[in-house]
Amino acid sequence: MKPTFEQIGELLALKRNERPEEGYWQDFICEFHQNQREKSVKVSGMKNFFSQFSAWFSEMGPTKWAYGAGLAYAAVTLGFFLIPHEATKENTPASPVKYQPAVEQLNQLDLSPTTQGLVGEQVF
Amino acid sequence: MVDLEIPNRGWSVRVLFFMSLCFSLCHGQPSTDSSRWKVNFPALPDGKTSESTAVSVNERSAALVIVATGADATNATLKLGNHNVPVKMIGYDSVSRLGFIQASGGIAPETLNWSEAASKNENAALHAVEGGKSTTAQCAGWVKQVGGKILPFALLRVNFSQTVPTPGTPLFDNAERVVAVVFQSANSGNVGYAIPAEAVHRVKRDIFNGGLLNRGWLGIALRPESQTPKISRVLPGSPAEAAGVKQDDVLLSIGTRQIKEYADAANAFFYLIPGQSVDVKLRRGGEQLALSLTPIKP
Repeated sequence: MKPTFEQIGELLALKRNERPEEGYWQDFICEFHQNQREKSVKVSGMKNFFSQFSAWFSEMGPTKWAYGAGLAYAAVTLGFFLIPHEATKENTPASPVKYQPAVEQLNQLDLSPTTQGLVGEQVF
Repeated sequence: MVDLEIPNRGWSVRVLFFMSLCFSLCHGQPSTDSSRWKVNFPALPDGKTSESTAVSVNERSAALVIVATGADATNATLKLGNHNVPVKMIGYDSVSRLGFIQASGGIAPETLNWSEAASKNENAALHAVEGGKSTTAQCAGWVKQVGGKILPFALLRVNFSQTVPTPGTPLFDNAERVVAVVFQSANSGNVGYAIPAEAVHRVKRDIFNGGLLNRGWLGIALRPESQTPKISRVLPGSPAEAAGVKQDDVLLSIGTRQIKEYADAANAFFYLIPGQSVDVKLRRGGEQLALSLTPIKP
């Protein structure tokens, strides 16, 4: 049996007046915040640290530049002591360099050690 | 009959021995000693003087000398005993450092029996005579490179029993034929380098025909650093191109000389004569080719 127009109009009027239960929206907001907190906990520790650090640094005011200069000085000093000096470098065994001398063709019978021969393609 | 003939033969032997003794005493030294012919060359600017024994080449009353690096080949002085004799330089080849001189007055060194080529036996026994003293020597193979540099032609390495003789001193085989001449000391004990007889003949041929050595040119390019004697390029319009030689062909032999490496090829090319065809064997891919090439003047 098909509903009449009057019956359908009454149902629509009832739907329009329908409201959630008391405290529904309060529960929804609580649940939403709970989800947000859980997501923030899942972010990597390092990122969290940097974000916290930057927040802390930006809140420091003009003194942050003094702290920054001190940190830079400490980094340079640390690098100076950690990089090996020349003497240390000399002690490290050098890997042999493979040097292939060019084959020379003497155009004269000159066997002196200083004589330079011709290199590269030779035409006969 | 027999008893009568034996004394006669004995006398003949004695007479012959006496005559040969007189001959030797008259000449003072063995016939193979060329030490009386010493030629000195002054130094070029920033160079050094050099001395060479002059060896007869049995032609035009000429003698062969070796001019060391840094010496002036055009201003030679021949010392015969205590006398200086003016000499004329017929020709000098800077590649082999061989020069050919003629002494004024028509005097000539004693003729020698030259071999066509050095012995193929790389350990052949040799000897040299200098200053009346004989020095034994032994061939120790061919030298194609010195100090990592490839020579224009191969020399003989010779181990002498005593000090290396003066450059130019002839080296004789057991048949008293000149097979090589001393080139220079190897600065290593009594070891020296010698120029083979065939190189002397090759240079003499051109020097006597025009005063200059004319190398035969085929138009083949090779790379010394290559492991095999592979032809890297054939020059257009060259005798090699005309004969059908192609790039990447590998040389197997030139004339009678086997080619195993670049230095062998360089040595073989030294002996090419312009206008005289030479048989060349090649390997192209998996097949062998035999071609006849006629070198020209470069």
